[in-house]
Amino acid sequence: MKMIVDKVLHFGTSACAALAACVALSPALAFASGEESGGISAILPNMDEFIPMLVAFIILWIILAKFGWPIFDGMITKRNNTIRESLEKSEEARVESERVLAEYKQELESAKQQATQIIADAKKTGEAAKAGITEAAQKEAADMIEKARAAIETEKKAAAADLQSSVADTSVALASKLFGEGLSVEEHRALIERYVNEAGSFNAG
Amino acid sequence: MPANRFLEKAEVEVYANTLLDSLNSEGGIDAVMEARTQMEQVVAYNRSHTELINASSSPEYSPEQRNNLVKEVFKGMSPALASTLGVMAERGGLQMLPRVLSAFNELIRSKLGVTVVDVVTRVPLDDHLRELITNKAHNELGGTVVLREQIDENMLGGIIMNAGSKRIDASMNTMLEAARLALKRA
Repeated sequence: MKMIVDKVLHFGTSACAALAACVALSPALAFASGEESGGISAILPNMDEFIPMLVAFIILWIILAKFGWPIFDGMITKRNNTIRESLEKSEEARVESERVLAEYKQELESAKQQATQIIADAKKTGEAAKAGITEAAQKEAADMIEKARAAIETEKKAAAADLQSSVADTSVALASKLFGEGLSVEEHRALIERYVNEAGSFNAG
Repeated sequence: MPANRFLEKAEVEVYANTLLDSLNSEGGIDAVMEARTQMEQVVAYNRSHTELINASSSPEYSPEQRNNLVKEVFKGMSPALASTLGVMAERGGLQMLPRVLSAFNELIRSKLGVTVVDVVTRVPLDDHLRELITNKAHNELGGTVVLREQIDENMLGGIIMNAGSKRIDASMNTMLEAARLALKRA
């Protein structure tokens, strides 16, 4: 940029010098012709002035076309390039932002689906756990009832056996007392005779 | 002491034979039955008291000392039995006495033709019951039947008859026990 400014200043200096030279040569002629004409000639170009001015203009135009225009053209081109690049970058950024937005939307949708799936799975797991716990509790209760029934049955049998045993012991004790103390010698001898007659043989078994 | 069981059996039979012959020649069947009773008492005593058996087989005593010891202990018994026990102790074989008793019982039956029936009752037998039991034993076992009566007041009633290894248990104790078990099983 600084170089461009330097070139423009250099060009301006050169053009001013050329124009000053032309003007320095032409005033004498202009004042001379102005003094000689009047009326309509006042609005008409004075050829003596016009031609040097035209020459100076042409020279200035040539100089500007030769040295100034490429610089301005380069600046404009560069500016155009900068603007175009900026537009391209902004377009790329817009596309990128749209892509990212699409990705975000997709990820958000995926996250929503995952969340829905997780909730559904959690519900399913919860239902299964609930069913399992219920089944286990029912089984445990059934087992406890069955064990209680078995224990009651065992207790009943044991009590019946105890009662039966007690009855048997009591009966035998009573019979023993009756036989031991209630029989006379003759009755004992009668029993012995009966047992000897009814007992098995020595040779049996 | 013989290690071979056949030699031991032969030795047992020698003791039993010698004792039986000696007793029978001295006092007949009564002496035999008396010695038999005494031998049973010795066997029963030795089952619960091992001191005499241990002393009679101890190497700390000489054979003569063992013989004299046993003779001294049993001097109130039948002389033939005491002498036999002394010889057994001298030879270190007093622990064979239960087998000698079994062989002795067998010899009483086979050699003398006598069947000894041990009868246990709560009350004493009368002549009618003796005849009944004697006839039953004679008919079933043969030989001359000798009854050995024993009163056991712990018996509730009935009778137990033993003839060697054969036994009839018609006691009330056994019957009531069987009834008690049957009632418990029912």
